[in-house]
This record gives sequence, structure tokens and C-alpha cells, in this order.
Amino acid sequence: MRYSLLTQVVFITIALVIIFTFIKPAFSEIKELQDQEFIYSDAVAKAAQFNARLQELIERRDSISRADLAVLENFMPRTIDSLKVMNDIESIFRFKNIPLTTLTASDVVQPASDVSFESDIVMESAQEGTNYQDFEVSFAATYEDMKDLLSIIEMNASLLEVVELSFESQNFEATAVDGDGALPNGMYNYVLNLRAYGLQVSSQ
Amino acid sequence: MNPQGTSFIPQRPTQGKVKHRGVRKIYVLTYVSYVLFFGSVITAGATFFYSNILEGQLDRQKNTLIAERAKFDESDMGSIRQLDNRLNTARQRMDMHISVPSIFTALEDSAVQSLQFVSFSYKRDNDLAPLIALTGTSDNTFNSILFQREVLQTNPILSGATFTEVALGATSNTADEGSVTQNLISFELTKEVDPSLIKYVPSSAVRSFEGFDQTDTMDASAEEGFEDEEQISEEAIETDFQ
Repeated sequence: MRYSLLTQVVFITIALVIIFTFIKPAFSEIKELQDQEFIYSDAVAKAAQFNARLQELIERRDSISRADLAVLENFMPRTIDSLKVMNDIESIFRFKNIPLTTLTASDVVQPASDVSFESDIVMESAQEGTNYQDFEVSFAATYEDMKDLLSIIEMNASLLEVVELSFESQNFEATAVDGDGALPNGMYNYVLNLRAYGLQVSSQ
Repeated sequence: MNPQGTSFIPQRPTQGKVKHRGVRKIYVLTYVSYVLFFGSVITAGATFFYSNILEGQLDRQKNTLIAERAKFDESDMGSIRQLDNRLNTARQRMDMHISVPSIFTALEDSAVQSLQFVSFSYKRDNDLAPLIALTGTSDNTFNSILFQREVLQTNPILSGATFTEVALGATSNTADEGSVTQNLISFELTKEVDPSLIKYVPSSAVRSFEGFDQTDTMDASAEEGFEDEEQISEEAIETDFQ
């Protein structure tokens, strides 16, 4: 009788020891492992999905021909090459046989800088966005030639936007162009402001 | 003296044998102890194996994640992002690109012969609606200006244009025969043009750019475009400016 009771007490004691020293911590560990496993499997699924999407985009990028990428680069360059733009403008005028009176470039207007908060450190990222530069052109031409010019300008390979244009009838303002100070009949003095765009990207 | 008589066979007493029923003792504590003990041992073993399995799974997931991360190329990501940004910006700019010659076409369509436009200005700030302003004169009556206003209302691009600074004043014109004084009505015509009505429609060159086909440069297509361009009413407005 006494032996039996002792055995029961020992069994219960061992069971309790096992429960509290092994099973209970093991359950906590299992729960933690399950949580981690869930997090990792979710991360793996997302990473796989992300990589698949990236791969798809890479394939799409690679399917774009070099010529098209060059066109895009020309249309929206990283930096505005003012000399190139001025050369473009001059070429358009030369194409129409219209002499340029003046052609000047203003300063490039940069996009506003962005401030981001990463790792509790305030970082001013490299300015990213559209920048632009204005080019003022003055010339004398007929109304018809001016329209043709605008049509060529608006379809230029590098984007040129007309931001200002003004002209007056020579009856009201005769500006000296030829020798006697008056424009030939049908000619007007134009002041045209063109804007060229570029896309500044961050180095990240 | 045998109390059982003469029989030498011993005889049981006549009373029946009383069976002693065994008392079944139920040791609850014993069962509990066995259940607890073996249950805890089995559970401990199961948790041990299960946690091992989970750890193995977790290690495999970690390795898979490392492999997925190894596949990821940051430079590719950067170039894709830049290309996407460039394409989106180019598309936005194209969407905001407007055709100034279409304003002149609209003016040519709506210009009344009896009015003379003497100046034109166009201004567009920050991709907002462009503002056009024309000054002009009429050597007839106010009827011409009223008629011009009515005609402009029928033109979707110029409808809603407002006439301001209307004034009747004496202006002298110098003719060969001598000085002739003539009454002129001066006015200013202003209109904020809805950009959606004068959106630039890409020509073949730009369309091919949008579709990423082979793209020609500006000069060749420009020449072709101008050959086909209609010159309706151009002479009229040109005359007006003179």
C-alpha cells in the first residue's frame, strides 16, 4: 500500500516536472516557431512574387529596342543640354529659312527637393523630378511661316513647349529689321518662349 | 462418537458455501498518476519531434528567402524604376502638351473680316490653361464686334472669349492724299483656352515613339505633315493682322 502510494506520488511529480520544465516551454517555443514560420513563408511568397514581377519587367525592358530607348532619352533627357536645345531651335529655323534675331537661354529650374525619414534620420534625397529651362527666341517672319514653325516645334524629338508667344502688327510697332527700319510687308516680329524639359533621377 | 453418524466420509455442514465477493478497489490516484505520467512523456516526445520538424521547416524557409534575395538585383530594380519614372513623366508631359497652331486655326475660322487684329499674345504658366489676348480695331460700328462675339461663341475653342477695353476713339491714318481722320473702335479679346480642346495630337513620328516602334526624327515627318496641312482661312487672318 505504501509502495503503491509512493509510486503514484513519484509518477505525478515526474509528470509535473516534465510538464513545467519541458512541455510548457516547448509549447511556447512551438508557438514562436509557428509564428516565425508563418512570417518567413509569407516573406518567401512575397519575395518570389516580387522577383517574378521584376523578372517580367526586366523582360519588358529588354524588349524595348535601343533605338526606342534613345528616343525616350532624347524626349525626356536626364539633364537639359542647353546647347543641344539651342542647336535644335536653330535647325528648325534654318529648315524654314527664317533668320533668328536672338536666342537666349534662362537658368535651369530644378525640381523641389524631397525630404524623407529613414531610420530616424532626416535625409534630403537627391532632387528627383522634372526640371525645365526656358529659351527665348525672337525672329521676324510671316504669319504662315510662324505657324509652320510652331507646328515643327511641337513635334520636335525633344519636347519643346510654347509657354509664351507675342507679336504685333507692324502698323503699331515697326522694329528695325531691314535697312530703312521697317519690316517687309507681311512680316511680323515675334517673341517666342520655349520650354525644354528634363527628368532628374536620384542616384539610388 | 461420531457426530456425523457412521459415515466415514466427512460431510460438510449443510449450510451453503458463502462466497466472499472480492472488493474492487478503484485507485483514482493511480489512474491519474499513470495518465499524467505517460501523457506527459508522450506529449514531451511529440512536442520534441514537432518542434524539430518546425525548426527544419523554418530553416528551409530561411534558405528559400536567402535564395530569393540572392535572385534580386538592386541595379535591375533601379533601372526599371528609372525607366518607369521616365515613361510616366514622358506620358504626362505628352498629355499636357498642347498645340498652339490649333488656336490660330480656330481664330482663322472665326475671324470676322471687318475687324483688324493688331496684336496677339499667348501665355501658359505651369501647365495651366493658356491665356490668349488679342487687341484689335474695328473701323465700322459696334455691330462688327457684336457679330465677332457671336461667331466666337460657335467655336468650341474660343467660345466664352471676353471683349474688354472697348473704346471708341479718333485715330488718324496717313494716306497719300493727305491726313484722314477715322473713328476706330479698339478692343481687347481675352480667352483662357481649355487645354483639353487643343491637345497635341501626335504625328506619325511621335506615335511611333509611343508605340515603341521604329521612330523617325522630326525633320522628315515634319516636311510631309506640312505638305498636307490645310491653309483654310490663313489668308483671312493674315490680312487682319496687316
